[in-house]
Amino acid sequence: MRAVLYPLLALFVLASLPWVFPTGSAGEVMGLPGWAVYTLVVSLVYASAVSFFVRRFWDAGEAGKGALSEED
Amino acid sequence: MSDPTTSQEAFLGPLGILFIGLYVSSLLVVGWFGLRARKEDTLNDFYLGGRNLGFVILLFTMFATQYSGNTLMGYPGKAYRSGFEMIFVVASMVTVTAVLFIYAPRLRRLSELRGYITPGDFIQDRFGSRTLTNLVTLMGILALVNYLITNLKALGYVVENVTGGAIGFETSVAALAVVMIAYEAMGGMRSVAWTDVTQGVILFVGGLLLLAGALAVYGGGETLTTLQRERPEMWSLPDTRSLTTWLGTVILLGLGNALYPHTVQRIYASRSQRALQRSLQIMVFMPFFISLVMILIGLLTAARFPGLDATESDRAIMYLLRDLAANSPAMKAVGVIFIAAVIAATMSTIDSALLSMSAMVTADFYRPLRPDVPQERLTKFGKHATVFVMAAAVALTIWLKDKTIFSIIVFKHELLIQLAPALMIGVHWKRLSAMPVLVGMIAGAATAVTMTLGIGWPETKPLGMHAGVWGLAVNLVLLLGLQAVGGKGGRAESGSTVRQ
Repeated sequence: MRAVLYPLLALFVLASLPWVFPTGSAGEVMGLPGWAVYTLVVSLVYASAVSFFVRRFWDAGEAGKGALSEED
Repeated sequence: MSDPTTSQEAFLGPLGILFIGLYVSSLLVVGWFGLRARKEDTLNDFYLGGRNLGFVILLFTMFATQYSGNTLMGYPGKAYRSGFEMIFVVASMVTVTAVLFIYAPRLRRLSELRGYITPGDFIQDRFGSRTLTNLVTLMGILALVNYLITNLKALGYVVENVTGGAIGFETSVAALAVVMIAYEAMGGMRSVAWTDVTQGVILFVGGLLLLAGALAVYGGGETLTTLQRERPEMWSLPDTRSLTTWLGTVILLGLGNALYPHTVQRIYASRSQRALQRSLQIMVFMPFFISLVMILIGLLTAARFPGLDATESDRAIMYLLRDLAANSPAMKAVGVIFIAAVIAATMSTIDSALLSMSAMVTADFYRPLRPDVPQERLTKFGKHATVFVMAAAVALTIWLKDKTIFSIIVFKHELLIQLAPALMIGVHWKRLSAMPVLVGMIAGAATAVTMTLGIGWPETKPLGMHAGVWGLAVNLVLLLGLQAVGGKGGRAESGSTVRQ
């Protein structure tokens, strides 16, 4: 289950940049560039998701035998 | 009122300098307490504080170490030059915690089981290759030397500027370096982590107070209007190539900061999995309170002091402090707190990097050559190494005085992220063997360096992507390819634990 989250984290990294806005886009939200506000909102969602993953999916692996290699 | 961009007057009077002097002296006292708290004269106790950092101390030491002079002085300057694009950096700092989520839990457990002190201990234990271990350690040291220089440079600028040149750049860098060597040699990780708690609080409060004060004096709406008039290009979304470059920056900073040797050292030093887990749950939100705050302050300076060149823009925040201080005594006090925050955070970062370098030189280079040397002599050797490294870093800092801070930060990460496969994949994939990791790392580093320097490549950022990310791609392709055709898996031979 945990490994499924890794591609999701990569998707968050990609989505944090405003690719969906056309180049030169200058729309505003409360006086700020719309694309900058978008980035901030996605970054906040990204941070919340990571915090949740750390809380819910923290996995230190099996103890003792097999920690380093298959022959271990 | 004098022009804050040309004023040579001291921001700090004698009282302010006394305040800074007392703060610096207090670090020596903390160092002494760290020495008193020592339980045994071993590498484990000196470099990892006996692996006993609880949730609160761990959170603050990670926070104060990660956010430093680079954040407080480099980010506003870059925001001044780049505008709202700099907001993309927030995602990179969130990515630091995401990367730690991937590899820290398992690495921490292994470090507890097998007594690791440095990242090199894990590499040696996991892959059994001294060549690979030495390469990882060497790249870590190179990155940390870079880190030391950028922070020493920030420290020198701050002290020189706020004292109106009464204490010069070179003098302040050299004097504070001596202080850091002294308290670190006394208390090791305990001194560093304990001072980080106070420093982290000052750092957190200092940035927020400055932003709030500046907005109160200049007004948010008025600043935005001025900025739009002076720098309208800031409102336009950059083209796809620029976004690709920013994606590269997010990858570089996100991976690089999470793989710093002193970050790994803090994973090892945590008291428990739970302590590390809880601190990371909070750490992930810190970019919104530090990185974003400093970027907004940088945008404020762009509105207030238009027309500065690249070198001057790195000092724009100091101009802002002078300008605000001229408005009211309260703002002068905010400025003093912010200066304290810069100095505190910068010194905490430098001492962490220094401690980590000392650990690597001692545990990864010296200990294998003299396996029978007792722990107390190893620790003593490490303290001597600290002095030598710091002296070299001070000399380089003075030589690099007039180069912009942010460009130095980015170059360092090009190399550091080549460690990602060894640590992040190595900790999970048991069949991964040393040779593919070694070849991939060498090829990745060579690609990153030659491309950055423009040797044999048509451009330094093909398709807009950083050389380090191309290097990482080469690194991964070779690692996977070589592992598929010849990987034998696991450790090469020794497999003995490093616990002593």
